[in-house]
Amino acid sequence: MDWSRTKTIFIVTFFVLDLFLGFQLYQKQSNNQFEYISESSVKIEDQLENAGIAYPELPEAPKSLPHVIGETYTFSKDEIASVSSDDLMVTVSEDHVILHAAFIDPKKTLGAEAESKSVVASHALFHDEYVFSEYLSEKRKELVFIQTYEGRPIFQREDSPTGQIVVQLNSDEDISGFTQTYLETSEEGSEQEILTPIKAINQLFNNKKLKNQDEITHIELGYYSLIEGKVQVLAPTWFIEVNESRHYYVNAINGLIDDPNIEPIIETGDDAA
Amino acid sequence: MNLEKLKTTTLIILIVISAVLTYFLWTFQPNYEQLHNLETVEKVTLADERPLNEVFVPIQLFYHAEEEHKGMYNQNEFAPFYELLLDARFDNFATHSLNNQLNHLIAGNESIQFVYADGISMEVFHQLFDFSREKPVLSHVERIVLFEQERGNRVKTFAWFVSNKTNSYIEAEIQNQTFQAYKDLFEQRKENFLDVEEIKLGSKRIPLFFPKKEMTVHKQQAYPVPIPELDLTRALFPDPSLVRESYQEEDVRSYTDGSRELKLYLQAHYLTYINPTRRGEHSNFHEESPILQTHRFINSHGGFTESFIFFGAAEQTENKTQVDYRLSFKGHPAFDARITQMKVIWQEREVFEYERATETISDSISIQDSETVTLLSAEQLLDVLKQSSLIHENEIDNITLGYTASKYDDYIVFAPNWYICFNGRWEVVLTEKDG
Repeated sequence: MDWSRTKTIFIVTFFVLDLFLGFQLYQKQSNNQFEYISESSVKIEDQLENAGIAYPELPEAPKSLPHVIGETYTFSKDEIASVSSDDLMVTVSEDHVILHAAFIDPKKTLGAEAESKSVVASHALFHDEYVFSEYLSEKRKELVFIQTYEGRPIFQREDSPTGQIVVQLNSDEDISGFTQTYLETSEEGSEQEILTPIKAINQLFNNKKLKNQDEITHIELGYYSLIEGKVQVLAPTWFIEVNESRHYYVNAINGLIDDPNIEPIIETGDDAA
Repeated sequence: MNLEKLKTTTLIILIVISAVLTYFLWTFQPNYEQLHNLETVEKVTLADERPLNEVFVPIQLFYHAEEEHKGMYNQNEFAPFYELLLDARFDNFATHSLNNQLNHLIAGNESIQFVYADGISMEVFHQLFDFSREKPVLSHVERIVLFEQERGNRVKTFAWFVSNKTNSYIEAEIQNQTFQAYKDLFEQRKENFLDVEEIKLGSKRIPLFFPKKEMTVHKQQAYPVPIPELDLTRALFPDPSLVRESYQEEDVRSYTDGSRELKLYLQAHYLTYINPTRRGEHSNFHEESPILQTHRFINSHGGFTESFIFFGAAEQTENKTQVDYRLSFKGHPAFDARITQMKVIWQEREVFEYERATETISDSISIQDSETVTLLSAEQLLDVLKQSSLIHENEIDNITLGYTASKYDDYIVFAPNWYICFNGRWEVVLTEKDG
């Protein structure tokens, strides 16, 4: 037997076999390589630009946030007493959840908004947890402060009395008093991924809530619940203002849009039989 | 000699490489990231899913022949006919105006008529039946009529999808069945059919049929049990870990996850599930039929706890559609008590409001009451309707045999009665004796 020739044949055979196996392995590897879908924010921006939709500098948002539970707070007697003073008369609702404070002599104001902020700061309980809400103030023709959680506002529906301070003006535009409600807040459930602001705007765009040449005039991340009740489950939500006139709430977890711009017809169900 | 050594070394290297490559090929696994501590939400459902063909069923079946009309009002009894129809393959669709065509057809042909409780969109039939590639459109099909006719020297079997509301019908040819198959089934079950006659009521385009003779039917009893509250919250909310009790009054308890609200009426044993998301301006792009979407919504939480059947759909303002499902008790639709009805108001792609009982009789034994009810004959019915000032004869859309369900402390009595549908509402036909 010609051992030398046999070796040559084997070398060629194994060489071809190795090439084949190597090619197979390469194919297998490249077939299973999924490219990461690139963040399509560039595309969104292009789409918005093509539609002439302008937006301000977008705020930074955390990658994930948990839901927040807000439980209607019952004011204690001590707390109520601490608000009342010589020129401020304080009463509470029967269930101790709404605090009414009335100035014996209404406060004269030059600028109601600035004065109301100082009233809240000096008289209301937990006052550093409230921020002025331009949207609700304009909607309700009152001076409305909404509660915050870790610096983010807890948005409330237009007709909601929850988690807010409402400063009242008399007919002379003087501050006559305020009412206050408060939510005791706690985090709930696991953190969930948050839509970036551009994606929240895209939700509006995809759902035909934005028209060509619209301008996003304000965008802010906060918490929001569609359901009123003694306990509110508050979801991270983007509040988006368009053309300083239309407002939308975009759930930052599932993208659902609450559009308050046309009030629904209120329907009453059958009463319990 | 050196060359031989080199060859040997090369061969060894090549053998090792091939072994290594073979090993890698054999054990190849894509380098995916592993999922750590994946939290899954266990899906709770109230009952098994019910397919379309169990929910979209007719409530009456009629067989028309020359001088002979037979009718059947019990869904369980005419189920074999419907099963046969569900196997049919339809083709060659054509849409026509209805006018007086159905009367002519029934008078001139042997035919079989399936009658639904209310109009069903053709989209549902696309999924229910085997249609050819064509997707004929008709919004409100209330009945399907089968017959055979000689056309082009061949006897063919045809089906009409009839919509009185839109005054039109779609004719289709059945490719894989003959009318004789239905006739054979009829011959086998002839004894279970009632003699019916046409009564001159309602729309002139749609003939209504009613039993010639009085009937005596037993009352029934069943025992409802509550569906556990925890099951309801788990089934209805996508993430039960977020659900909180938000409100409680004497007999109402509310739960919410921030987006939806579930109200349980503890004394009346029913619930409302509300999605108050405001939709603002309405888009008009075509959506899948709300009927199909409500069916999927109910199945998603196993809401078909009883044998509920489709019973009506009505469009409302703001793009809403109300779809009603009704309990089929012993083959007949049941009315009145909460347990007999499920109502879903659908808005665009989502549920707006859902109302149903929080009790079930799915595992209950039903007992035949010794008490019987004698039901009106066609002649008596006409007399009753003529005397009634509330019911306008020409507005009657349908008449069917149903059970009136009355709830007592821990049981429900089902009393048979005739029900008429007028102006989209079903009302019991009360005789003077009933009050």
